[in-house]
Parts: sequence; structure tokens; C-alpha cells
Amino acid sequence: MTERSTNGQPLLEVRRLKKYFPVRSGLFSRVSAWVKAVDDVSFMIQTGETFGLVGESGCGKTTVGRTILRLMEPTSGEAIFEGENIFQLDAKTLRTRRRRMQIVFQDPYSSLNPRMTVGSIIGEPLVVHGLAKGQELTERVYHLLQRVGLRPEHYSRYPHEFSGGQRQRIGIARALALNPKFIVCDEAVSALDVSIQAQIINLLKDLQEEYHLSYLFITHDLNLVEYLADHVAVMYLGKLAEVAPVEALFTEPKHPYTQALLSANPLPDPKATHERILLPGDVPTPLNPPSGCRFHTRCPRVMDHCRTTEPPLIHIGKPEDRHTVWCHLYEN
Amino acid sequence: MTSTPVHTDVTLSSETLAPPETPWQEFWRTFKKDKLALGSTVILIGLLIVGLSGKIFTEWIVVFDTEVVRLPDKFKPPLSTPSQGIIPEQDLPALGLYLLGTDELGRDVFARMLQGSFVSLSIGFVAAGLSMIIGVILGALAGFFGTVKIFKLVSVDTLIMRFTDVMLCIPTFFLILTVVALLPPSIYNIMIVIGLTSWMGNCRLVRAEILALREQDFVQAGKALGLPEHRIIFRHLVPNAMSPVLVSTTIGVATAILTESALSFLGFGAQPPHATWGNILSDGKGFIFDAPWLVMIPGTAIFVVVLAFNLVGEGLREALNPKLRRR
Ligand SMILES: Nc1ncnc2c1ncn2[C@@H]1O[C@H](COP(=O)(O)OP(=O)(O)O)[C@@H](O)[C@H]1O
Ligand code: SF4
Ligand SMILES: [Mg+2]
Repeated sequence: MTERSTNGQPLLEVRRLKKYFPVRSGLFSRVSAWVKAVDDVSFMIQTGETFGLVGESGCGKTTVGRTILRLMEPTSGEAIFEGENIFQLDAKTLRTRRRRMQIVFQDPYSSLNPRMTVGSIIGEPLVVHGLAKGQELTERVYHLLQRVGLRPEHYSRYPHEFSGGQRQRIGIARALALNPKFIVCDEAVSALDVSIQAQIINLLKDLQEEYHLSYLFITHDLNLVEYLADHVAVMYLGKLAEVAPVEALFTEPKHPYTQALLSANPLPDPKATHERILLPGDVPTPLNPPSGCRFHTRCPRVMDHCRTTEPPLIHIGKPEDRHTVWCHLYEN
Repeated sequence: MTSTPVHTDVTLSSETLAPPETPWQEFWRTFKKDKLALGSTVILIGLLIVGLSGKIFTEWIVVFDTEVVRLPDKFKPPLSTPSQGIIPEQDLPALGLYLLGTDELGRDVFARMLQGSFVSLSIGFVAAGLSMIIGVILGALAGFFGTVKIFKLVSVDTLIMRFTDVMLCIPTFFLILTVVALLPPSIYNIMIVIGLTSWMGNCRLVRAEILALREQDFVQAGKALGLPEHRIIFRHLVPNAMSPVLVSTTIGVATAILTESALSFLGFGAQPPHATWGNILSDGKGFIFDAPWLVMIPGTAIFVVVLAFNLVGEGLREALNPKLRRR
């Protein structure tokens, strides 16, 4: 369905990404603790691929997406995009590279400046990067509007006049304006009604084909991932639990957390049944994550050394399959 | 490009929108519902015209002379006519009538009020404008560059906000009195001093707004699009942070007019022969029983203008707020 790069060089490779937020307290606002929102996360995204990132709310998905785009500075790690470490670019180079990677946000209300017309919202990146002006600018904005399913007469309207789905289209048009190769979709359809969700998902698919886009598709909705993604990473409390091709993940999930998530997911077919794995307890806080395997406080198959030793990365099958799991069950 | 199969749904896009309404039109629709604010706006527009004509007809084309002294005609009540034969021809008031009476030197109070309206209004606008500009710039810097450290020591935010706190601690009126007592008493010094000592509220308002806006996705989007920082601050943040500042500036005009009147009343304001509402009031206070209009007229004028600015400010608050709440 999607074109994959054959030379094996990934479009984006994230290596050992960490993002800790300081917690300040006391009279002099000293840093008293760290929220380990993202703790040693590595994955790669191939050209033309949709890479799903799933996990419960608060597990660090947004933080991953935003650090990759340098909307937040990472604590450590690398993000190699088209052969260049994004985290080491100086401000000037970063600005030019921003044309290659964009983001679509979750909240269609806060993601558009309420005091700018739709035309100037979409046209602004073109102006700022000196890519178009005057008549050409207007025409390119018209084209973008049309491409995302809006009409030229929407050019001079303000965001508050549009519905949530239409605003999301405006956000997509803005992201497309610079002709990027890679787009982070952070819960891009989660705030929308199901029927509108389908329209936006289809739009994203069309655009992917037309512009050979790669997506980092962040969501908590497993059904969306199954429908849209080629490759999936499952995240738990700042760490990856499992990374696998979408078919493998949904047919034979390896990590106990993935298995529990899938069992809790309502199946599209109401007659199908499966045993539901109920996880005890709540997600611990990333302020003070459990030792060893972070999932050990809730894992149904927990073993003694899970509590003390962090599980290593284990390949399932051949490394080229890109199916990896972080769990002591699969050692040897 | 267009050869790829496209199954983008178009029903959504053909959904009809309400007729176009710019933010201005929307603002006006809400604002005009508030009859008090609307009435006050009319008063203020009238006052602006009066103020401008005050400048024109008392200083440029002298129709109403503020300086002619007519001792025989002192303390004439409003609407009285000049004494026949005693006042020289060229000293007669413009309409052949003392519209608002005369003062202890027989000067035409109407002419002096007219001149004073320009002075009062310009002090109000310049001082409030200055306080808005300083407040917005400092507030925006504090809010946007909050954590950036200067010399690895204090953050921009801490520096600006502690300075603001210090300024707030000083009783403004006494600071103004001190400064005005040291400087030559011109209306420009008064405007500037009032402006320089009244920006703190605006600064705090803008900082709070910007701190909240900075986390909004459209600002993150701007960053992701590679917009320069000054563009993010002045095109995306500041316009969205202005509503509370506009309200406070409108009320600030009234406060500045009051401050100037109080200064004039104490003798530190614009100096004679320059008439201001404050010094007409001040000069008149000695004759409050013989010539009550000398106090009533400028007093009423100050009261009406201050009230009108406050009501317009309240109206603005209402008209600008639904937009913020609705997002
Ligand atoms: N700016 C921040 N300061 C402190 N903690 C943060 C900040 N942003 C996110 N976090 C914390 O990091 C964790 C991960 O958040 P996030 O990436 O938003 O998760 P998700 O997108 O998966 O819901 C959460 O515990 C959240 O409280
Ligand atoms: S390492 Fe242990 S605790 Fe963690 S998921 Fe595997 S079995 Fe469960
Ligand atoms: Mg999130």
C-alpha cells in the first residue's frame, strides 16, 4: 500500500531519547525531582510509513512527538532525520529543516490562532520561509484549501466559524504548506466525532499517497492504529514495551502489556469474543517509576527478577522484521 | 498530481457557514447591546470633538479667548451678558454671552474649559497609551522569555516581575508629586510621569495572558513552522493578550485625567495661564460660596468623563470576553 524505501536507510531514527521534566519546590525553586516522561526510547520510521505510537494517557506519547520536532528540548538522545541529528542542529539550520517535518495537533480549537483568517494561517509559513508571495501565495493557499476539502471562499473566514472537523482540515493544510516529508499526528482525530474521524483519516491516507508522507501517528485508540499504521510501538510509563509490524502486533502480541491492551480493546465485530485480561491497580506515576520492569506492579506474569532488573531489548524473529519486545519472558 | 484516486469527503466542506463576520463585526454586535457603554462612547466621541475644537479655537484661530481679563465683569454667572459699554469691543466674548460665566478675573470660563478639555484628554490618552506600551512590552518579554537567564543569574521573568513589584510598592501619587516637584511643571512631564508610574497592572495582565497562551497549540504550531520569535510574540501572542489590556487602558485614561486634576488642584499640574480642568477647579475653590459654578463646572466635567471612560471600559470587557471564553 505504501511505498517503502528499499535502501534500508530509515527516514527517522530515534535513539535512546530521554525527556525528564524538573519538579521544582521550596523557597528557591530548586529541582527536587524529575518526571521521567520519556526514558530511553528508540525506534525507527521508514519512508512512506505510518508509524503508530500507542499507550494510555500520560505515558509520554506527546512528549516523544514534540521532542522529535524540537518543540521541547530533549534531555538526551538522538533523532536522525534524513541522516542528520535534529537534536544537534543550530537554530538557523533547524528553521530550514522544519520545512521537512510538521505536526497536526489534537485540539482543533487551540491549534488555530483565533485572530487570523484561515488564508493567513495557511499562508504564513509560505511567507515566512519566502516561498511565495502576492498572487502566487493566494493561489497556493487556494490549492491547499481545496486539497484538504475546503473551499476557496473559506480563505477570509476566521477559525471560530468552522466545525471541529473543518478546523482539523485547516490544521492539516497549514502542516502541508511547507511540503513536508514527515508529519507527527498527535491524537489528530481523537477530539472528533466518529463519523468525522473517518473523513479525516481518509484525508490523511490520501495525502500520504499523493505526497509520499510518513506519519508518526500518536493515539490511544487501537482500532485506529490497526486501520492506519504499518508499524506500531506500544508505550508504557515513558518506555517502549513492544515494537512490531501491525499484523504481528494484533495477531501475536508478545508483551504482557500489549496483550492486556488488546484484550481490553472492543473488537469491531461484536460477536467475536476474547478473554479480557484485567490489570490490577493504576498506572504508577513517572515521577517515581517502579524499579526493574516498569510494568511489574501490574503484570499478570511478573517474575522475581522483573522487580529488580530492567528487561533488555529482545528481537522476535529476524531483526529485519523489526519486531522487538522489552520483557524477561523472552530471554533465550 | 491529480491522477491519484481521491476519496476525500466533500460533504463537510460544502456545509454552509454563517454569513462572514469579522471579529470587528462580532465585537460591535456584542458591544452595542450595552446601552450604557454605547451612550458613554457617544459622550466620549463628542468630548473628543470638543477637545480638538478646544485646541483649534482657543490657540490656533482664537475665537474663544482664554486670557482676556475683564475686571468689571468678574464672577458673572453662566449665561449672563457682558456689561454694556464698560467692556471694550474687542474683549467681548465670542457669542456675546458668558456661556459658563466668568471667574475672579472676569475670564470666560467656557473658553477656559474648552482649552482645558484638550489638555485633560491629551494627558489621559498619552499617559494611558504610554502605560499600555510599557506594560505590553515588559509583560510580553516576561511571559515569553520566562525562563531565559540573564548572566546565568536571574531569569528575565524574575527580573521584570520583581521590578514591577517594587514599582507597585511605591505610592504612585507621592512618587508623581515628588518627580513633578523636581521637574519643570509642563504638561508633557506630567503625561510622561503618569505613564511611567502606571504600567504595572498592564504588565501583569499581559504576562498572565501570555503564560497561558504560550502553551496553546497554535503557538507550538508557529514554532514547528519555524516562525521567528518576534513574529510569534507580536503576531500570535500579543494580539490574543490585548483584550484585558484594552479594558484597563480605557479605565487608565480616566485615572490619568483624575491624577492630573488632583495634581493641578494641589498646584503641581500644568501651570497658569494654561487652563486645565484641575486648575480651574483649584482656582475656583476659594470662591465656592460666591461663585459655585467655578467649582461645579470643571467638577462635573471631570466626573462625566471619568464615568464615561469607566463605562466604556466595562462595555469593552463584556464585548471582548465571550470571544475568549468561546475560544
Ligand atoms: N511541561 C511539562 N512539565 C512537567 N511534566 C510534564 C510536562 N509535559 C508532560 N509532563 C508529564 O509527562 C508525562 C507524559 O505526558 P504526555 O507526553 O503528555 O503523555 P501522553 O501524550 O501520552 O498523554 C505525564 O506524566 C505528564 O504529566
Ligand atoms: S519483564 Fe516481567 S514484569 Fe515486565 S512485562 Fe515482562 S514479565 Fe511482566
Ligand atoms: Mg498526549
